[in-house]
Amino acid sequence: MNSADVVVIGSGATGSLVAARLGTAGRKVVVLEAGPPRELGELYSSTIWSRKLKWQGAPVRVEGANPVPHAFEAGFGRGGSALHHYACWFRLHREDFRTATLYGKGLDWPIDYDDLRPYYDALQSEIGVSGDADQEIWRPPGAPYPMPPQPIFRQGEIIAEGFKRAGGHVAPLPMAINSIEYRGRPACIQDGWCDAGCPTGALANPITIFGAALQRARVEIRYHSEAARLLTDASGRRVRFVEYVDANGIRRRIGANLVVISAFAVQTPRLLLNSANESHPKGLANSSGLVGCYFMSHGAVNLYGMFAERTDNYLGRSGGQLFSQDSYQKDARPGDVGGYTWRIGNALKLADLGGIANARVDLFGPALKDFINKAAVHLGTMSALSDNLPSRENRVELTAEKDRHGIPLAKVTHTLGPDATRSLEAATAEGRNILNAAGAQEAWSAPIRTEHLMGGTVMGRDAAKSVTNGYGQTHDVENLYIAGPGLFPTSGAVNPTFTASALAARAADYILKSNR
Amino acid sequence: MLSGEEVRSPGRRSLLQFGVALVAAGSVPGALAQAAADGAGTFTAKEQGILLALGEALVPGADLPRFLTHMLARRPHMLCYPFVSFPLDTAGFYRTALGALERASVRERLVGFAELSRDGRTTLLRELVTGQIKEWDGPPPALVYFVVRNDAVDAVYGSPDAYRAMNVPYMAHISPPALE
Repeated sequence: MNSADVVVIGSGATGSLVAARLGTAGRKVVVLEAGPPRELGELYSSTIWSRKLKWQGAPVRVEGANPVPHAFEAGFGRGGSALHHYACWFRLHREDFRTATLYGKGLDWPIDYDDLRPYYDALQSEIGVSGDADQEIWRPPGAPYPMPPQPIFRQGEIIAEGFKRAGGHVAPLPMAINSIEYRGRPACIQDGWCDAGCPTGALANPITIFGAALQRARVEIRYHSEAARLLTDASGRRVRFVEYVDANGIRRRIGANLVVISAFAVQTPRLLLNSANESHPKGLANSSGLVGCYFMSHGAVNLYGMFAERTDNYLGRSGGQLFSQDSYQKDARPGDVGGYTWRIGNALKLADLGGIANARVDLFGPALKDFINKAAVHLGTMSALSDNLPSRENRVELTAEKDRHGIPLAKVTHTLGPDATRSLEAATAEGRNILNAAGAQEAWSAPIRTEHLMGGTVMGRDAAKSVTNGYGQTHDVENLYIAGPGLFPTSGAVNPTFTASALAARAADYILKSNR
Repeated sequence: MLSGEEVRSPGRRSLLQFGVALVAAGSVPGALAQAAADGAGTFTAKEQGILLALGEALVPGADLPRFLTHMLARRPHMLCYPFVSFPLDTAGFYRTALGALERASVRERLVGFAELSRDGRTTLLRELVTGQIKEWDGPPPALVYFVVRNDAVDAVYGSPDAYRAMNVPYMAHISPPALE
């Protein structure tokens, strides 16, 4: 097929969702995936083998005071980053959509919570989310979860007691992971290997969720097909072709009536910037000059406590057991805008970036060995995830360097804003108190880090101040849509996949209604 | 609670700025890039000696020459190095890092790293990660420490065998194939 009704670039959470929706509605859909095919049977439970799921495409240069962990966050191959995501499926709060109006900082979304609420509700039922809405005292209105919460293990119980003693509240972490058999998929077996990809079908990765629908709809996925640029018609108002490089390094073109870029928050702006032409000299869909701008990564900090009793920290899910949003309020600190979410009781493995050995990166030699021996049985952890206000200076740009196909590379510059930094400092102090209240023999924090990739192609009402409208349709090119967290004008202080998926479902509905 | 090779304050504080080390990863001096280009994906006998000593100093029992040689032969190699987004190819990173460590050892201690005593290696590593080595001509030292330490951790703790030895349940969905 040299042309399609719809070409989707990227097969991750949002690309697979859009392709499944449009394919099921009868559209001829072709998905271009830069990486290889993946099968559930190759998702080995291993911190080392898990790395083959991570980004292996063109190098991404990172700069700034808080560089983004692109190669850890991004995925490569079918399922994208959602194949190894932790499935912490939070909703944004009402105020996340209106920080500029309410607090005078950040950007307003062109939509509000009520626009997304039906999609949150429908998706959690379709995909399966476990949790306890009644215990989530901070939760915006919405349907209760279709599954009961996940089990809580000793690590979670111990830290929850610390929250209680410190006057705080916790609730089961909402997860796109089955707590019971749901829609023919089994319950989670609580072995903590989410980061390595879940082969059982308990965790909602794109292969598990959309694989059958894509097959039924005869959606073609072209693997090892790296999108190089988009070609428009003479008017510049419509994309005509997607040019891509196949597995043999040959440049090919596919015609499309509609294109959806769901290549994540770095490769999407890279593709737009590399698609500059006479009609779009600054890059496709970039009349605002904002393609690449307002890139965001959450600020995060890990807290650790060593306990005398066993914590059974090998049990549970990579994303955690419980959460607290007692400090989610945006204006708790005078002059600052931003709160944070605690994710509590992550299942731990010995090695890898988030593993036990890196809980004390300062140790080596026999001292490290002693620490690992003790921590494997007695460590408890939780992490704060902070708002990070959008800054135009945090951005994706092209470099003079090129990849093996001669396509300029992306460079991501990212520095956490002062509000986020102060938020994390407050979280660090609070976290130590909570872990001490929980009875930790010793409590400490890791360095501030960054997590998740968002922004860079933000949505908005004003074409001069944003790249797309509220459906992800670019202001400049009518048949070009963007899906994924790159659309977010603000980060919120929660994991982004649920919101990115809700936006994609809303966009798919809109595309079908407006392109009958 | 802890003793031994703990990197103590203010060194620990310096190391905790590791994130800043990643910031420095934006560009590579010409000499570094050339050194990397000269290297293939295998290690010389001398480099293997340095790696063996380095691995043992970082995580007792870590056979880094064997682990890295085997991993570098794989496609993809599945090492943690790409996570730090340093703009050198993987083999080049190790070659330049080992060269810099060896030169620093000779300058500071008058002998190569592999010839140092156990205490000597420990002290030099502390100086490395706390930025006390005055002349360093490799990738950022804290980044070298972070990457190679994670490799050593992988070599010792990355397989089901390590969990079994520690009596920690591994609970694989699908047991990983042997790496070699």
